[in-house]
Amino acid sequence: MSNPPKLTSILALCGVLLIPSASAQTAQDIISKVDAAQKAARDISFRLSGNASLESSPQKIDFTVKSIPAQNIARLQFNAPDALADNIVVADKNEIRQYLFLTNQVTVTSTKKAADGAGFGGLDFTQLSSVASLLSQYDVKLLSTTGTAGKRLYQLEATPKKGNTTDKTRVFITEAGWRPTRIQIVSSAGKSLADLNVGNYKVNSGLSVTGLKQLPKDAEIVRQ
Amino acid sequence: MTKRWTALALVLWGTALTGTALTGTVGATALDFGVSYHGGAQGGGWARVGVSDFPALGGRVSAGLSTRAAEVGYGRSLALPPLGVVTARVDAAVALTGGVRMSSRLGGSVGPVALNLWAAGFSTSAGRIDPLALWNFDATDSRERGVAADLRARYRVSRTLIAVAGGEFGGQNMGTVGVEGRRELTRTLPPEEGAQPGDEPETEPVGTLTWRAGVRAGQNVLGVTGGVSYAAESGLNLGLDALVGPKAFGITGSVDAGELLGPGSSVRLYAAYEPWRTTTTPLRAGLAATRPLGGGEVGLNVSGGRSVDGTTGYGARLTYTLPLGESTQP
Repeated sequence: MSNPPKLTSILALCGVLLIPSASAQTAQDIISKVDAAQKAARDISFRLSGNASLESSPQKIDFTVKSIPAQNIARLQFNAPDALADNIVVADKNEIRQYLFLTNQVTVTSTKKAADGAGFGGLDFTQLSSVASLLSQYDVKLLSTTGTAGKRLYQLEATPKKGNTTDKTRVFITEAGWRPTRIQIVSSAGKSLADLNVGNYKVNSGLSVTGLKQLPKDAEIVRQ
Repeated sequence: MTKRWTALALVLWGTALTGTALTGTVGATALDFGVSYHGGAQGGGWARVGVSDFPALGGRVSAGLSTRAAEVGYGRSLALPPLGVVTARVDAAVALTGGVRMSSRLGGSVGPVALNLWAAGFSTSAGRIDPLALWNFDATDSRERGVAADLRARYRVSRTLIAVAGGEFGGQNMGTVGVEGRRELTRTLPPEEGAQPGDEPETEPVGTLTWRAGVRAGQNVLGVTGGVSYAAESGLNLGLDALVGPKAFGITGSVDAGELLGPGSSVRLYAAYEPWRTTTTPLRAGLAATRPLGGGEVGLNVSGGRSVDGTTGYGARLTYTLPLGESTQP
Protein backbone atom coordinates (compact mmCIF):
# COMPACT_ATOMS: atom_id res chain seq x y z
CA MET A 1 0.00 0.00 0.00
CA SER A 2 1.80 3.09 -1.21
CA ASN A 3 -0.85 5.61 -0.19
CA PRO A 4 -0.43 7.64 2.99
CA PRO A 5 -2.09 5.86 5.90
CA LYS A 6 -5.56 7.13 6.68
CA LEU A 7 -7.07 7.40 10.13
CA THR A 8 -9.34 4.44 9.49
CA SER A 9 -6.39 2.36 8.36
CA ILE A 10 -4.53 3.27 11.49
CA LEU A 11 -7.52 2.30 13.61
CA ALA A 12 -7.76 -0.97 11.76
CA LEU A 13 -4.09 -1.52 12.31
CA CYS A 14 -4.58 -0.87 16.00
CA GLY A 15 -7.30 -3.48 15.97
CA VAL A 16 -4.94 -5.95 14.37
CA LEU A 17 -2.28 -5.19 16.95
CA LEU A 18 -4.70 -6.07 19.74
CA ILE A 19 -5.02 -9.61 18.42
CA PRO A 20 -2.51 -11.99 20.03
CA SER A 21 0.65 -11.94 17.98
CA ALA A 22 0.54 -15.64 17.08
CA SER A 23 -2.39 -15.05 14.73
CA ALA A 24 -1.64 -11.47 13.70
CA GLN A 25 -2.61 -10.90 10.09
CA THR A 26 -2.47 -7.82 7.98
CA ALA A 27 -4.77 -7.30 5.04
CA GLN A 28 -1.77 -7.93 2.81
CA ASP A 29 -0.99 -11.24 4.53
CA ILE A 30 -4.57 -12.39 3.96
CA ILE A 31 -4.54 -11.34 0.30
CA SER A 32 -1.24 -13.16 -0.20
CA LYS A 33 -2.67 -16.33 1.31
CA VAL A 34 -5.83 -16.19 -0.81
CA ASP A 35 -3.66 -15.51 -3.84
CA ALA A 36 -1.42 -18.47 -3.03
CA ALA A 37 -4.39 -20.77 -2.40
CA GLN A 38 -5.89 -19.84 -5.76
CA LYS A 39 -2.63 -20.23 -7.62
CA ALA A 40 -2.20 -23.67 -6.08
CA ALA A 41 -5.62 -24.76 -7.31
CA ARG A 42 -5.99 -26.40 -10.70
CA ASP A 43 -9.61 -25.32 -10.91
CA ILE A 44 -12.06 -23.37 -8.78
CA SER A 45 -15.82 -23.15 -8.88
CA PHE A 46 -18.36 -21.43 -6.68
CA ARG A 47 -21.79 -19.91 -6.66
CA LEU A 48 -22.54 -16.31 -5.74
CA SER A 49 -26.07 -15.59 -4.63
CA GLY A 50 -27.80 -12.78 -2.82
CA ASN A 51 -29.30 -9.39 -3.48
CA ALA A 52 -28.02 -6.33 -5.24
CA SER A 53 -29.39 -2.86 -5.90
CA LEU A 54 -27.43 -2.36 -9.06
CA GLU A 55 -30.13 -0.19 -10.57
CA SER A 56 -32.83 1.29 -8.37
CA SER A 57 -34.68 -1.57 -6.71
CA PRO A 58 -32.98 -4.54 -5.09
CA GLN A 59 -32.99 -7.70 -7.14
CA LYS A 60 -31.89 -11.27 -6.74
CA ILE A 61 -28.47 -12.08 -8.11
CA ASP A 62 -27.35 -15.66 -8.55
CA PHE A 63 -24.58 -17.00 -10.72
CA THR A 64 -21.94 -19.66 -10.80
CA VAL A 65 -18.29 -19.08 -11.57
CA LYS A 66 -15.93 -21.76 -12.85
CA SER A 67 -12.29 -21.10 -13.48
CA ILE A 68 -9.01 -22.75 -14.43
CA PRO A 69 -6.52 -20.13 -13.22
CA ALA A 70 -3.44 -21.51 -14.97
CA GLN A 71 -5.25 -21.33 -18.33
CA ASN A 72 -6.64 -17.86 -17.66
CA ILE A 73 -10.14 -19.10 -18.32
CA ALA A 74 -13.29 -18.29 -16.39
CA ARG A 75 -16.95 -19.04 -17.00
CA LEU A 76 -19.83 -17.19 -15.42
CA GLN A 77 -23.38 -18.47 -15.72
CA PHE A 78 -26.40 -16.55 -14.48
CA ASN A 79 -29.38 -18.07 -12.65
CA ALA A 80 -30.94 -14.78 -11.54
CA PRO A 81 -32.22 -12.13 -12.13
CA ASP A 82 -34.68 -13.52 -14.69
CA ALA A 83 -33.56 -10.93 -17.23
CA LEU A 84 -30.05 -12.36 -17.22
CA ALA A 85 -30.78 -15.97 -16.36
CA ASP A 86 -29.07 -18.52 -18.62
CA ASN A 87 -26.72 -15.89 -20.00
CA ILE A 88 -23.13 -17.10 -19.96
CA VAL A 89 -19.86 -15.19 -20.13
CA VAL A 90 -16.65 -17.06 -20.92
CA ALA A 91 -13.38 -15.14 -20.74
CA ASP A 92 -9.93 -16.36 -21.62
CA LYS A 93 -6.71 -14.62 -22.50
CA ASN A 94 -7.81 -14.01 -26.10
CA GLU A 95 -11.49 -13.31 -26.10
CA ILE A 96 -14.68 -12.83 -24.14
CA ARG A 97 -17.67 -14.82 -25.35
CA GLN A 98 -21.13 -13.92 -24.18
CA TYR A 99 -24.16 -16.15 -24.74
CA LEU A 100 -27.48 -14.30 -24.73
CA PHE A 101 -30.38 -16.61 -24.04
CA LEU A 102 -33.12 -14.23 -25.23
CA THR A 103 -31.73 -13.85 -28.74
CA ASN A 104 -29.73 -17.11 -28.90
CA GLN A 105 -26.59 -15.20 -29.86
CA VAL A 106 -22.95 -15.54 -28.91
CA THR A 107 -20.94 -12.33 -29.00
CA VAL A 108 -17.18 -12.56 -29.41
CA THR A 109 -15.01 -9.67 -28.26
CA SER A 110 -11.23 -9.69 -28.07
CA THR A 111 -10.07 -9.36 -24.49
CA LYS A 112 -7.91 -6.43 -25.52
CA LYS A 113 -10.83 -4.63 -27.15
CA ALA A 114 -13.07 -5.38 -24.18
CA ALA A 115 -10.68 -3.52 -21.91
CA ASP A 116 -11.69 -0.31 -23.72
CA GLY A 117 -15.40 -1.10 -23.70
CA ALA A 118 -18.27 -0.99 -21.28
CA GLY A 119 -19.97 -3.55 -19.05
CA PHE A 120 -17.82 -6.27 -17.56
CA GLY A 121 -15.44 -5.57 -20.42
CA GLY A 122 -14.74 -2.16 -18.92
CA LEU A 123 -12.31 -3.90 -16.63
CA ASP A 124 -8.69 -3.91 -17.56
CA PHE A 125 -8.24 -7.62 -18.04
CA THR A 126 -4.50 -7.26 -18.18
CA GLN A 127 -4.68 -6.42 -14.48
CA LEU A 128 -6.35 -9.70 -13.62
CA SER A 129 -3.14 -11.68 -13.46
CA SER A 130 -3.55 -12.11 -9.74
CA VAL A 131 -5.65 -11.01 -6.82
CA ALA A 132 -2.62 -9.14 -5.53
CA SER A 133 -2.12 -7.02 -8.63
CA LEU A 134 -5.88 -6.58 -8.97
CA LEU A 135 -6.09 -5.18 -5.50
CA SER A 136 -3.12 -2.90 -6.09
CA GLN A 137 -5.65 -0.41 -7.44
CA TYR A 138 -7.43 -0.48 -4.11
CA ASP A 139 -6.76 0.51 -0.57
CA VAL A 140 -7.46 -2.65 1.37
CA LYS A 141 -7.79 -2.83 5.10
CA LEU A 142 -8.75 -5.47 7.63
CA LEU A 143 -12.05 -4.52 9.27
CA SER A 144 -12.50 -7.35 11.74
CA THR A 145 -11.47 -10.83 12.74
CA THR A 146 -13.86 -13.31 14.34
CA GLY A 147 -13.82 -16.99 15.22
CA THR A 148 -11.25 -19.31 16.75
CA ALA A 149 -7.87 -20.40 15.44
CA GLY A 150 -8.14 -22.39 12.24
CA LYS A 151 -11.67 -21.13 11.61
CA ARG A 152 -11.08 -17.39 11.70
CA LEU A 153 -13.16 -15.18 9.50
CA TYR A 154 -11.50 -12.01 8.24
CA GLN A 155 -13.44 -9.07 6.89
CA LEU A 156 -11.53 -6.97 4.36
CA GLU A 157 -12.65 -3.68 2.91
CA ALA A 158 -11.42 -2.38 -0.44
CA THR A 159 -11.74 1.26 -1.51
CA PRO A 160 -10.71 2.31 -5.01
CA LYS A 161 -7.60 4.51 -5.04
CA LYS A 162 -8.91 6.46 -8.02
CA GLY A 163 -12.14 6.79 -9.94
CA ASN A 164 -15.31 8.63 -9.07
CA THR A 165 -16.94 5.85 -7.06
CA THR A 166 -16.83 5.88 -3.30
CA ASP A 167 -18.48 2.46 -2.99
CA LYS A 168 -16.60 0.07 -0.78
CA THR A 169 -16.27 -3.64 -1.36
CA ARG A 170 -16.15 -5.90 1.69
CA VAL A 171 -14.92 -9.43 1.35
CA PHE A 172 -15.17 -12.05 4.08
CA ILE A 173 -12.31 -14.54 3.97
CA THR A 174 -12.26 -17.79 5.93
CA GLU A 175 -8.99 -19.08 7.25
CA ALA A 176 -10.21 -22.60 6.46
CA GLY A 177 -9.01 -22.86 2.89
CA TRP A 178 -8.29 -19.13 2.50
CA ARG A 179 -11.34 -18.50 0.39
CA PRO A 180 -14.02 -15.81 0.23
CA THR A 181 -17.36 -16.63 1.87
CA ARG A 182 -19.28 -13.37 1.38
CA ILE A 183 -18.99 -10.21 -0.67
CA GLN A 184 -20.68 -6.93 0.11
CA ILE A 185 -20.69 -3.64 -1.75
CA VAL A 186 -21.52 -0.71 0.49
CA SER A 187 -22.05 2.92 -0.51
CA SER A 188 -20.17 5.69 1.28
CA ALA A 189 -23.43 6.41 3.12
CA GLY A 190 -23.33 2.88 4.51
CA LYS A 191 -26.18 1.55 2.35
CA SER A 192 -25.76 -2.05 1.22
CA LEU A 193 -25.74 -2.16 -2.58
CA ALA A 194 -24.93 -5.81 -2.94
CA ASP A 195 -24.68 -8.68 -0.49
CA LEU A 196 -23.65 -11.98 -1.98
CA ASN A 197 -22.81 -15.26 -0.33
CA VAL A 198 -20.23 -17.60 -1.78
CA GLY A 199 -21.51 -21.16 -1.81
CA ASN A 200 -20.58 -24.52 -3.32
CA TYR A 201 -16.91 -23.50 -3.26
CA LYS A 202 -14.97 -26.32 -4.83
CA VAL A 203 -11.32 -26.72 -5.69
CA ASN A 204 -9.88 -29.27 -8.13
CA SER A 205 -13.20 -30.79 -9.12
CA GLY A 206 -11.77 -31.75 -12.52
CA LEU A 207 -13.08 -28.94 -14.73
CA SER A 208 -11.99 -29.03 -18.36
CA VAL A 209 -11.22 -26.14 -20.70
CA THR A 210 -13.65 -27.60 -23.25
CA GLY A 211 -16.38 -27.78 -20.63
CA LEU A 212 -15.82 -24.20 -19.54
CA LYS A 213 -15.90 -22.94 -23.13
CA GLN A 214 -19.04 -24.85 -24.09
CA LEU A 215 -21.84 -22.65 -25.40
CA PRO A 216 -25.04 -23.59 -27.27
CA LYS A 217 -24.03 -24.70 -30.74
CA ASP A 218 -27.01 -23.34 -32.65
CA ALA A 219 -26.45 -19.75 -31.49
CA GLU A 220 -25.70 -16.99 -34.00
CA ILE A 221 -22.10 -15.78 -33.69
CA VAL A 222 -21.64 -12.00 -33.54
CA ARG A 223 -18.04 -10.83 -33.77
CA GLN A 224 -17.19 -7.39 -32.52
CA MET B 1 -24.67 1.54 -12.50
CA THR B 2 -21.70 0.55 -14.61
CA LYS B 3 -19.39 1.45 -11.75
CA ARG B 4 -21.22 -0.90 -9.43
CA TRP B 5 -21.27 -3.69 -11.96
CA THR B 6 -17.59 -3.05 -12.40
CA ALA B 7 -16.94 -3.28 -8.70
CA LEU B 8 -18.86 -6.52 -8.50
CA ALA B 9 -17.24 -7.88 -11.62
CA LEU B 10 -13.84 -6.99 -10.33
CA VAL B 11 -14.25 -9.01 -7.18
CA LEU B 12 -15.69 -11.80 -9.21
CA TRP B 13 -13.05 -12.05 -11.87
CA GLY B 14 -10.38 -11.38 -9.32
CA THR B 15 -11.50 -14.42 -7.42
CA ALA B 16 -11.91 -16.49 -10.52
CA LEU B 17 -8.92 -15.57 -12.62
CA THR B 18 -5.35 -15.83 -11.55
CA GLY B 19 -2.32 -16.65 -13.59
CA THR B 20 0.03 -15.12 -16.08
CA ALA B 21 -0.27 -11.99 -18.17
CA LEU B 22 -2.98 -11.83 -20.80
CA THR B 23 -1.95 -11.50 -24.41
CA GLY B 24 -3.12 -12.48 -27.85
CA THR B 25 -5.70 -11.58 -30.48
CA VAL B 26 -8.76 -13.19 -31.96
CA GLY B 27 -8.38 -14.83 -35.33
CA ALA B 28 -11.78 -14.79 -36.92
CA THR B 29 -11.37 -13.71 -40.53
CA ALA B 30 -12.15 -16.56 -42.88
CA LEU B 31 -11.87 -17.35 -46.57
CA ASP B 32 -14.98 -18.92 -48.08
CA PHE B 33 -15.12 -21.08 -51.19
CA GLY B 34 -18.21 -22.61 -52.70
CA VAL B 35 -19.42 -24.45 -55.79
CA SER B 36 -22.92 -25.58 -56.56
CA TYR B 37 -25.06 -27.12 -59.22
CA HIS B 38 -28.80 -26.68 -59.41
CA GLY B 39 -31.44 -28.17 -61.65
CA GLY B 40 -34.83 -26.85 -62.63
CA ALA B 41 -36.02 -24.06 -64.87
CA GLN B 42 -32.81 -22.01 -64.93
CA GLY B 43 -30.36 -24.68 -63.89
CA GLY B 44 -26.61 -24.44 -64.03
CA GLY B 45 -23.42 -24.14 -62.09
CA TRP B 46 -22.27 -21.56 -59.59
CA ALA B 47 -18.98 -20.78 -57.90
CA ARG B 48 -18.01 -18.23 -55.28
CA VAL B 49 -14.97 -17.03 -53.40
CA GLY B 50 -15.15 -14.61 -50.52
CA VAL B 51 -13.76 -13.30 -47.28
CA SER B 52 -15.82 -12.91 -44.13
CA ASP B 53 -15.40 -11.17 -40.76
CA PHE B 54 -12.42 -9.11 -41.92
CA PRO B 55 -11.80 -6.47 -39.21
CA ALA B 56 -11.96 -2.99 -40.80
CA LEU B 57 -13.56 0.41 -40.19
CA GLY B 58 -14.21 -0.48 -36.58
CA GLY B 59 -16.36 -3.43 -37.55
CA ARG B 60 -16.30 -6.54 -39.72
CA VAL B 61 -16.32 -6.52 -43.50
CA SER B 62 -17.28 -9.39 -45.76
CA ALA B 63 -16.97 -9.50 -49.51
CA GLY B 64 -17.48 -12.09 -52.20
CA LEU B 65 -17.44 -12.61 -55.91
CA SER B 66 -19.44 -15.34 -57.56
CA THR B 67 -20.31 -16.32 -61.09
CA ARG B 68 -23.59 -14.48 -60.53
CA ALA B 69 -22.91 -11.48 -58.32
CA ALA B 70 -20.51 -9.27 -56.40
CA GLU B 71 -21.33 -8.85 -52.72
CA VAL B 72 -20.11 -6.69 -49.86
CA GLY B 73 -21.27 -6.38 -46.29
CA TYR B 74 -20.36 -4.46 -43.17
CA GLY B 75 -21.36 -5.26 -39.61
CA ARG B 76 -20.61 -3.62 -36.34
CA SER B 77 -21.54 -4.63 -32.83
CA LEU B 78 -21.14 -3.53 -29.27
CA ALA B 79 -21.26 -6.28 -26.68
CA LEU B 80 -22.04 -5.43 -23.08
CA PRO B 81 -21.43 -8.67 -21.16
CA PRO B 82 -23.52 -9.89 -19.46
CA LEU B 83 -26.33 -7.46 -20.28
CA GLY B 84 -26.67 -7.67 -24.05
CA VAL B 85 -25.45 -6.57 -27.45
CA VAL B 86 -26.27 -4.04 -30.16
CA THR B 87 -25.53 -4.99 -33.75
CA ALA B 88 -25.92 -3.15 -37.04
CA ARG B 89 -25.32 -4.61 -40.47
CA VAL B 90 -25.65 -3.55 -44.11
CA ASP B 91 -25.29 -5.80 -47.14
CA ALA B 92 -25.29 -5.07 -50.84
CA ALA B 93 -25.13 -7.38 -53.84
CA VAL B 94 -24.95 -6.53 -57.53
CA ALA B 95 -26.08 -9.25 -59.93
CA LEU B 96 -23.85 -9.65 -62.97
CA THR B 97 -26.98 -9.80 -65.12
CA GLY B 98 -28.09 -6.45 -63.67
CA GLY B 99 -30.06 -5.57 -60.58
CA VAL B 100 -29.09 -4.98 -56.99
CA ARG B 101 -30.16 -6.14 -53.53
CA MET B 102 -29.58 -3.99 -50.46
CA SER B 103 -30.49 -4.82 -46.91
CA SER B 104 -29.82 -3.51 -43.45
CA ARG B 105 -30.43 -4.92 -40.05
CA LEU B 106 -30.41 -3.37 -36.62
CA GLY B 107 -30.70 -5.57 -33.58
CA GLY B 108 -30.26 -5.09 -29.91
CA SER B 109 -30.92 -6.77 -26.63
CA VAL B 110 -30.48 -5.41 -23.15
CA GLY B 111 -31.56 -7.48 -20.19
CA PRO B 112 -35.13 -8.74 -20.83
CA VAL B 113 -35.81 -6.86 -24.09
CA ALA B 114 -34.70 -7.65 -27.63
CA LEU B 115 -35.57 -5.77 -30.81
CA ASN B 116 -34.74 -6.64 -34.39
CA LEU B 117 -35.38 -4.48 -37.44
CA TRP B 118 -34.61 -5.56 -40.98
CA ALA B 119 -35.30 -3.76 -44.22
CA ALA B 120 -34.43 -4.56 -47.80
CA GLY B 121 -34.89 -3.18 -51.28
CA PHE B 122 -34.13 -5.16 -54.42
CA SER B 123 -34.41 -5.08 -58.19
CA THR B 124 -33.37 -8.69 -58.72
CA SER B 125 -34.51 -11.90 -57.03
CA ALA B 126 -32.62 -13.63 -54.23
CA GLY B 127 -32.29 -16.67 -56.47
CA ARG B 128 -30.28 -14.74 -59.06
CA ILE B 129 -27.63 -13.94 -56.45
CA ASP B 130 -27.68 -17.29 -54.65
CA PRO B 131 -29.52 -20.04 -56.54
CA LEU B 132 -30.13 -22.12 -53.41
CA ALA B 133 -31.48 -19.23 -51.29
CA LEU B 134 -35.13 -19.89 -52.09
CA TRP B 135 -34.97 -23.37 -50.57
CA ASN B 136 -33.56 -22.31 -47.18
CA PHE B 137 -35.44 -23.38 -44.07
CA ASP B 138 -36.33 -19.75 -43.33
CA ALA B 139 -38.70 -18.48 -46.02
CA THR B 140 -36.99 -16.12 -48.48
CA ASP B 141 -38.89 -13.50 -50.50
CA SER B 142 -38.76 -14.74 -54.09
CA ARG B 143 -40.05 -11.61 -55.83
CA GLU B 144 -38.05 -10.06 -58.66
CA ARG B 145 -38.23 -6.55 -57.23
CA GLY B 146 -39.69 -4.73 -54.29
CA VAL B 147 -39.11 -3.63 -50.74
CA ALA B 148 -39.50 -5.69 -47.59
CA ALA B 149 -39.26 -5.10 -43.88
CA ASP B 150 -39.29 -7.28 -40.85
CA LEU B 151 -39.79 -6.24 -37.25
CA ARG B 152 -39.42 -8.50 -34.24
CA ALA B 153 -39.60 -7.89 -30.52
CA ARG B 154 -39.00 -10.29 -27.65
CA TYR B 155 -39.65 -9.61 -24.01
CA ARG B 156 -38.66 -11.96 -21.25
CA VAL B 157 -41.62 -12.00 -18.88
CA SER B 158 -39.94 -14.45 -16.54
CA ARG B 159 -37.09 -16.90 -16.70
CA THR B 160 -39.22 -19.45 -18.54
CA LEU B 161 -41.65 -17.25 -20.49
CA ILE B 162 -40.98 -14.92 -23.43
CA ALA B 163 -43.58 -12.74 -25.15
CA VAL B 164 -42.95 -12.23 -28.87
CA ALA B 165 -44.45 -9.88 -31.44
CA GLY B 166 -43.49 -9.22 -35.01
CA GLY B 167 -44.48 -8.04 -38.42
CA GLU B 168 -43.47 -8.94 -41.98
CA PHE B 169 -44.08 -6.34 -44.65
CA GLY B 170 -43.51 -6.34 -48.38
CA GLY B 171 -44.93 -9.04 -50.58
CA GLN B 172 -47.35 -10.45 -48.02
CA ASN B 173 -48.04 -8.23 -45.04
CA MET B 174 -48.71 -9.95 -41.74
CA GLY B 175 -48.28 -9.69 -38.02
CA THR B 176 -47.61 -12.24 -35.30
CA VAL B 177 -47.99 -12.31 -31.54
CA GLY B 178 -47.24 -15.17 -29.23
CA VAL B 179 -45.50 -16.62 -26.24
CA GLU B 180 -42.62 -19.02 -25.83
CA GLY B 181 -42.05 -21.14 -22.79
CA ARG B 182 -39.58 -23.75 -21.80
CA ARG B 183 -38.82 -26.41 -19.31
CA GLU B 184 -35.32 -27.36 -18.32
CA LEU B 185 -34.86 -31.08 -17.92
CA THR B 186 -32.18 -31.72 -15.31
CA ARG B 187 -30.82 -34.49 -13.18
CA THR B 188 -29.41 -34.01 -9.68
CA LEU B 189 -25.77 -34.91 -9.23
CA PRO B 190 -24.61 -36.86 -6.18
CA PRO B 191 -23.21 -34.50 -3.48
CA GLU B 192 -19.53 -33.70 -3.90
CA GLU B 193 -16.98 -34.67 -1.32
CA GLY B 194 -16.44 -31.78 1.07
CA ALA B 195 -19.71 -30.05 0.19
CA GLN B 196 -20.87 -27.60 2.84
CA PRO B 197 -24.10 -28.59 4.66
CA GLY B 198 -25.92 -25.46 3.40
CA ASP B 199 -24.94 -26.00 -0.24
CA GLU B 200 -27.73 -26.72 -2.67
CA PRO B 201 -27.26 -29.94 -4.63
CA GLU B 202 -25.68 -29.42 -8.04
CA THR B 203 -27.80 -30.31 -11.04
CA GLU B 204 -26.80 -31.19 -14.56
CA PRO B 205 -28.96 -30.23 -17.54
CA VAL B 206 -29.96 -33.11 -19.80
CA GLY B 207 -32.18 -31.22 -22.22
CA THR B 208 -34.62 -28.41 -22.80
CA LEU B 209 -38.21 -28.56 -23.92
CA THR B 210 -39.48 -25.39 -25.61
CA TRP B 211 -43.03 -24.62 -26.69
CA ARG B 212 -44.49 -21.83 -28.78
CA ALA B 213 -48.06 -20.59 -29.18
CA GLY B 214 -49.42 -17.61 -31.05
CA VAL B 215 -51.48 -16.07 -33.80
CA ARG B 216 -50.47 -15.05 -37.34
CA ALA B 217 -52.74 -12.70 -39.24
CA GLY B 218 -52.38 -10.81 -42.50
CA GLN B 219 -52.85 -11.00 -46.25
CA ASN B 220 -54.10 -14.47 -47.21
CA VAL B 221 -53.27 -15.87 -43.82
CA LEU B 222 -55.08 -16.16 -40.52
CA GLY B 223 -54.34 -18.89 -38.07
CA VAL B 224 -53.09 -20.02 -34.73
CA THR B 225 -49.52 -21.20 -34.52
CA GLY B 226 -48.00 -23.76 -32.23
CA GLY B 227 -44.68 -25.46 -31.95
CA VAL B 228 -42.46 -27.58 -29.78
CA SER B 229 -38.70 -28.16 -29.66
CA TYR B 230 -36.52 -30.53 -27.76
CA ALA B 231 -32.82 -29.82 -27.36
CA ALA B 232 -30.62 -32.45 -25.76
CA GLU B 233 -27.21 -31.70 -24.27
CA SER B 234 -25.70 -34.01 -26.87
CA GLY B 235 -26.56 -31.45 -29.55
CA LEU B 236 -29.66 -33.26 -30.84
CA ASN B 237 -32.36 -30.69 -31.57
CA LEU B 238 -35.86 -31.48 -32.80
CA GLY B 239 -38.37 -28.83 -33.80
CA LEU B 240 -41.90 -28.91 -35.16
CA ASP B 241 -44.16 -25.91 -35.86
CA ALA B 242 -47.64 -25.69 -37.36
CA LEU B 243 -50.09 -23.04 -38.46
CA VAL B 244 -53.79 -23.88 -38.56
CA GLY B 245 -56.54 -21.50 -39.68
CA PRO B 246 -59.90 -21.48 -41.44
CA LYS B 247 -58.25 -21.33 -44.86
CA ALA B 248 -54.62 -21.85 -44.06
CA PHE B 249 -52.40 -24.70 -43.01
CA GLY B 250 -48.65 -25.00 -42.74
CA ILE B 251 -46.07 -27.19 -41.06
CA THR B 252 -42.31 -26.94 -40.65
CA GLY B 253 -39.88 -29.29 -38.98
CA SER B 254 -36.16 -29.72 -38.47
CA VAL B 255 -33.73 -32.18 -36.95
CA ASP B 256 -30.25 -31.15 -35.85
CA ALA B 257 -28.38 -34.37 -35.29
CA GLY B 258 -25.51 -32.78 -33.36
CA GLU B 259 -21.97 -34.05 -33.82
CA LEU B 260 -22.96 -37.11 -35.81
CA LEU B 261 -19.95 -36.82 -38.14
CA GLY B 262 -17.40 -36.37 -35.34
CA PRO B 263 -16.38 -33.53 -33.02
CA GLY B 264 -17.18 -30.08 -34.39
CA SER B 265 -19.53 -31.41 -37.05
CA SER B 266 -23.18 -30.65 -37.65
CA VAL B 267 -26.01 -32.27 -39.57
CA ARG B 268 -29.37 -30.66 -40.18
CA LEU B 269 -32.40 -31.98 -41.98
CA TYR B 270 -35.39 -29.70 -42.58
CA ALA B 271 -38.67 -29.52 -44.41
CA ALA B 272 -41.29 -26.79 -44.69
CA TYR B 273 -44.73 -26.94 -46.26
CA GLU B 274 -46.36 -23.50 -46.10
CA PRO B 275 -48.89 -23.18 -48.95
CA TRP B 276 -50.26 -20.01 -47.36
CA ARG B 277 -47.08 -18.15 -48.34
CA THR B 278 -47.60 -16.25 -51.59
CA THR B 279 -44.21 -14.59 -52.13
CA THR B 280 -41.85 -17.31 -50.95
CA THR B 281 -41.29 -20.88 -51.99
CA PRO B 282 -44.07 -22.78 -50.13
CA LEU B 283 -42.46 -26.22 -50.20
CA ARG B 284 -38.82 -26.46 -49.16
CA ALA B 285 -36.60 -29.25 -47.91
CA GLY B 286 -32.92 -29.74 -47.41
CA LEU B 287 -29.98 -31.40 -45.75
CA ALA B 288 -27.02 -29.39 -44.49
CA ALA B 289 -23.89 -30.92 -43.00
CA THR B 290 -20.55 -29.50 -41.90
CA ARG B 291 -17.41 -31.02 -40.48
CA PRO B 292 -13.86 -29.85 -39.74
CA LEU B 293 -11.32 -30.59 -42.45
CA GLY B 294 -7.69 -29.53 -42.69
CA GLY B 295 -7.91 -26.50 -40.38
CA GLY B 296 -11.16 -25.35 -41.93
CA GLU B 297 -14.69 -26.55 -42.29
CA VAL B 298 -16.27 -28.33 -45.22
CA GLY B 299 -19.99 -28.10 -45.82
CA LEU B 300 -22.50 -29.89 -48.01
CA ASN B 301 -25.95 -28.57 -48.68
CA VAL B 302 -28.58 -30.41 -50.71
CA SER B 303 -31.92 -28.66 -51.02
CA GLY B 304 -34.92 -28.23 -53.22
CA GLY B 305 -38.44 -26.95 -53.37
CA ARG B 306 -41.57 -26.21 -55.32
CA SER B 307 -42.50 -22.60 -56.00
CA VAL B 308 -45.95 -20.94 -55.97
CA ASP B 309 -46.36 -21.54 -59.73
CA GLY B 310 -45.65 -25.25 -59.32
CA THR B 311 -42.14 -25.41 -60.76
CA THR B 312 -39.70 -27.55 -58.86
CA GLY B 313 -36.01 -27.03 -58.37
CA TYR B 314 -33.15 -28.63 -56.54
CA GLY B 315 -29.49 -27.99 -55.94
CA ALA B 316 -26.34 -29.20 -54.24
CA ARG B 317 -23.54 -27.06 -52.84
CA LEU B 318 -20.10 -27.82 -51.51
CA THR B 319 -18.40 -25.14 -49.40
CA TYR B 320 -15.09 -24.77 -47.61
CA THR B 321 -14.39 -22.15 -44.96
CA LEU B 322 -10.80 -21.56 -43.93
CA PRO B 323 -10.18 -19.37 -40.87
CA LEU B 324 -7.06 -17.21 -41.21
CA GLY B 325 -4.74 -17.22 -38.22
CA GLU B 326 -5.42 -18.73 -34.85
CA SER B 327 -8.93 -19.91 -34.24
CA THR B 328 -10.20 -20.13 -30.70
CA GLN B 329 -13.57 -21.55 -31.63
CA PRO B 330 -14.25 -24.36 -29.15
